[in-house]
Amino acid sequence: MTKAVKRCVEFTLCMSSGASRLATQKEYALRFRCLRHEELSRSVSPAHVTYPGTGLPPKTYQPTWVRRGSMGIWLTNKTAFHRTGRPTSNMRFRFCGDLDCPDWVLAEISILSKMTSIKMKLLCVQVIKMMLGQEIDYDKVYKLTADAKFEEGDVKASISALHFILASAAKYAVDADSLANELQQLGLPKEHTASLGKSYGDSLCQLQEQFGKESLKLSQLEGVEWRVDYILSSSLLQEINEPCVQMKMNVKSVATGTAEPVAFTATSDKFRVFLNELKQAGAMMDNLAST
Amino acid sequence: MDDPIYSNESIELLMKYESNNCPQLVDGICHRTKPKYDDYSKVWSLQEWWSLADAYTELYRQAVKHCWSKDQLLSELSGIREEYQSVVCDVLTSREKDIRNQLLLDSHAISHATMTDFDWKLKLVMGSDKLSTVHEPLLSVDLDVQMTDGRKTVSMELNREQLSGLISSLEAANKALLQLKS
Repeated sequence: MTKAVKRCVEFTLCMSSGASRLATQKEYALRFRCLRHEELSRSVSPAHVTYPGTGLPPKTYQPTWVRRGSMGIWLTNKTAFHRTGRPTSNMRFRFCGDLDCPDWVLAEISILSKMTSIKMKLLCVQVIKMMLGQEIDYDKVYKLTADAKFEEGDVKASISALHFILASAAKYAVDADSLANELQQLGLPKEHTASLGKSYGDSLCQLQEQFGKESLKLSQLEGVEWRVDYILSSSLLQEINEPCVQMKMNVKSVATGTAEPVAFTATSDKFRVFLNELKQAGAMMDNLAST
Repeated sequence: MDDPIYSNESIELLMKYESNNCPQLVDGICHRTKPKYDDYSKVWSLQEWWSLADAYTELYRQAVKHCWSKDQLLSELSGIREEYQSVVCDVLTSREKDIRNQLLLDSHAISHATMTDFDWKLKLVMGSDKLSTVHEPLLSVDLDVQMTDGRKTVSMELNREQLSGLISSLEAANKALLQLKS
């Protein structure tokens, strides 16, 4: 047994609540088989054995082991383990905003790997289309997933997993290579990660632009119309001879989501001050953008 | 004028009081604090106070509205004693500009809605739930609009493109204004 394998085995044993509650022979064998198949380039250091969130020391932590899928993802009641035996809860993924990958995504990754990489790429294209605000073609999606014998629930799950992965990666501006790499660490086969990474890389700019547009916006100015009047006389003053500005602004409010016209008069002095201050603010904005 | 709203009697009433309170009445026209009746209750009855305040307000309004010269004003006041006439005239000459400006503002306000004030604030958007880093400057503008049925604050957010669009549109309006002024 190589040194790295030995360390991994020690580690997995230590996971199962200490000497008094050793993993059953079957579990041990299962895990060991997984470990053997893994390239052991990444050794596991004991520093990884911490349980954020549980507050329990490793020995009293009693995970319930559940074997999921063929990808060597181990799900416990608290955390997920990759086939390296490395608890994924201690892993930080850039595409998750330097947080752990949610368990449900881990589980769905094994479903995704049942598809061929080409079909998954086509599914990716559909999901990206949906994220860019277009309609998703469900007939196509069902055709793509028919080979893998997906049930309706699986189709939904794979779409939401892809959506999560792509949206989260674009949110944190992860490059395509890093995303592919991280997905591989989570157990998605290499061909799958490569094709997903490629379609992600191609549409990253578009996705970010779309997200920028979709980001929370409060009342927006949709348009402005104006008219300059010259007041000759009024009931209060016989001779005025002063210009004034009528303005109509179409403001799209957050509450109703519809553009609401607001029309008002401004005296020429007030209008000049208003315009000047807007220009000042505009200059400050340009300064901000250039730095 | 055949039937002036102000009568010489009411103007005479003012003179019962030694110190002159015409300037304070002018403040009333300019939407500042009017003089209070309490301060003068020993000199005038309430009825007298009302009629004199109205008379003076109306006198000054008319004088400014029609741009009366000093002579015209004096001819209007011909019925009252000379020393009072000069006091009334002095007040008008010193405050004419104020009154005119106020009446001008009031004329502008003859409208369904007027912009009374505005405020703005420049913000830098750091991130959102959709994008972790945004770094986009945004300008919040609040416009206080006085409507016939109360005040309303219109607020909006402008990004760089929207702001430059607004500025260039208003710039054209400003040009038209400058042409009219010159």
